[in-house]
Amino acid sequence: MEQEKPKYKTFILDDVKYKTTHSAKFEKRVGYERPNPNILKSVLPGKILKVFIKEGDEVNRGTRLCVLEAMKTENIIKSTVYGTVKKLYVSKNSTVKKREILMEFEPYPEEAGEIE
Amino acid sequence: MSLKQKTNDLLKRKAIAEAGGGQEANLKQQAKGKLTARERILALLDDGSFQEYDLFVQHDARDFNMESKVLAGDGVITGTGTIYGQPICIYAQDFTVEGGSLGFAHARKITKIMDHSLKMRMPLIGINDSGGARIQEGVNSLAGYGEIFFRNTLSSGVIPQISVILGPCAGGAVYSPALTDFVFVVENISKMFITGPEVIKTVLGEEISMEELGGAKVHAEISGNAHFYAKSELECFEQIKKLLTFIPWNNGQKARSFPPKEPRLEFKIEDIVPSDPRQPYDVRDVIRALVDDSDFFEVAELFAPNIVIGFGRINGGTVGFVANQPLVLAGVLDCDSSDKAGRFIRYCDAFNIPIVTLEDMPGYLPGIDQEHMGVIRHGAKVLYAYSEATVPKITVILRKAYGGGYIAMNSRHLRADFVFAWPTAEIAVMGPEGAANIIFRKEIQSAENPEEMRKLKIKEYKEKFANPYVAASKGYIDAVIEPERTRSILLHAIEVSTNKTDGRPRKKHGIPPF
Repeated sequence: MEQEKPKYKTFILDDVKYKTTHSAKFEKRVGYERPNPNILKSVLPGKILKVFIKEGDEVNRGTRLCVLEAMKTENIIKSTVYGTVKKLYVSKNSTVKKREILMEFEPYPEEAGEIE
Repeated sequence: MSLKQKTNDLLKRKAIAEAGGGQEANLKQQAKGKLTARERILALLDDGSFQEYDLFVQHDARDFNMESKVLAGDGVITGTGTIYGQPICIYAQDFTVEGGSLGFAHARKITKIMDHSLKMRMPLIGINDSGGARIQEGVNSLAGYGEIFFRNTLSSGVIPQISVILGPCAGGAVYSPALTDFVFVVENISKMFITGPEVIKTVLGEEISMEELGGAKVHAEISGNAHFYAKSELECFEQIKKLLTFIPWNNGQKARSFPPKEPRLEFKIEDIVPSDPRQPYDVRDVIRALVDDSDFFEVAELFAPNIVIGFGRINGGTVGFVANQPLVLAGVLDCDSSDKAGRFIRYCDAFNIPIVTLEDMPGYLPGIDQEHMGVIRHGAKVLYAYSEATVPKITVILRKAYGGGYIAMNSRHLRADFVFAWPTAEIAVMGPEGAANIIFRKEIQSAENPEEMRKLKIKEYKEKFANPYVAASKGYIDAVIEPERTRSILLHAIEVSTNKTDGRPRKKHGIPPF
């Protein structure tokens, strides 16, 4: 039986270059993304039921931002940032995918005191 | 009624029950490219060996108009028979009867044959083709699943348990196969998942086909839930029969031995393995050059192909092989390959099958995804499985044996019985390039020509440490051997290990890094 010639790749480990092939799963692996606290993404796919803020609003840590209905549950999404809403990507009744960006924040400098 | 009349009445009753869901349902089954449950059993077992039990079992569900439904055999066929003359227990869910759904009586038929297989110490083969729980029977059907899972666990490591997925197997149903030793799937026919595409769509809004979510290829290649992948049901049955020739009937026995055969000549070990440790080759060719008739039966071929596991025979007796595969990802250990090897080692140990380890690996796969997936915990499975195993354990180091991988791949330190090394073996903390860069960093940095110095130092390190003789001088390797003598040495090592007696401290059970 004539076999297909494997597509060799270079694979470096401890400074040694190995000639080898990749497995299908290795090819499909997803790269790591460093979490950015200033970008709020949806952790689940769902629907936005309510938005409490608008662009330019000041938010504190714990400020209610929106209600995301996902897994048959209404989840109140709260801010983890102290700053302002820079951009809002969703509105009432938007359906969002997993990892879809909901909004971006402009944080205040570290030393700024928190608002009450 | 005369005896003859009564017998005729029996035959009539049997014919009705054996017809399953009837001709129309059978045609539907055929249209999907599937055999019926009865055809499957007959195709798998020796001709005329099948004896069915509980053909006349009926459910006694009363809700949702179930009382008016007569379900042939309650949707499952159970019995005993032989494969190559050896007795086995078998059940096959009948999709033509109420979608093969699992009710209480259905489950009780299965648990009855499971109890029988454990008591009689013979293998159990389960053919799964079912829409899932019979919802009309409510919690009784969940109870049925639970009783099956409990028995799967009870029988684990005592008798071989084989699951064949020949249709849907969804929700809780998937946990019976997951608890068994070997799972067989067939292209376009097998479907396994916890929650199906419909649920995923309504709850998560993500669209995926059944095949992409839990088809045969997915489980054989990506999830690792299936160990054997076939293009057709008949090919699948041949795989099952072949597997059964390699394994013992229970944990108190050894696998049957066959007349010894020499490997076929076209495999020449010396020509397969390049002496440069950076060059790839297919380690399965090395195994084929070592085993009787060059017949290597690979397990989980598509999943984590950077490690190769499977059965072969040496001098007629079954041996389990665990081999790094330089052809894929340079043969590194990672989460999946550790999981694959660890489980197989435990299988061999439970069923008295000697383990031969062929080592040629540069270390563990670096990566954020690997670390975050818990490569520490998964990698530990290999250490645990080898350390725990008391069957004869033989290692042959072909080329690279670097770092943690050297320890993990059945080293002397984990109580290997024999560790052999080819003259091409390099037993070291890491590859020469990396080691030289660390040890001689200052010399390299301060040299007039750092690149020249680096090359010089790598060469120096290679000459001094990239060989089997340092480890041999400490007794970590028992013998450095000529590659062409590998088979005869393995033969010898297995022969002298026949009466191996080794124990571990008494305990209820260990806590492996699951």
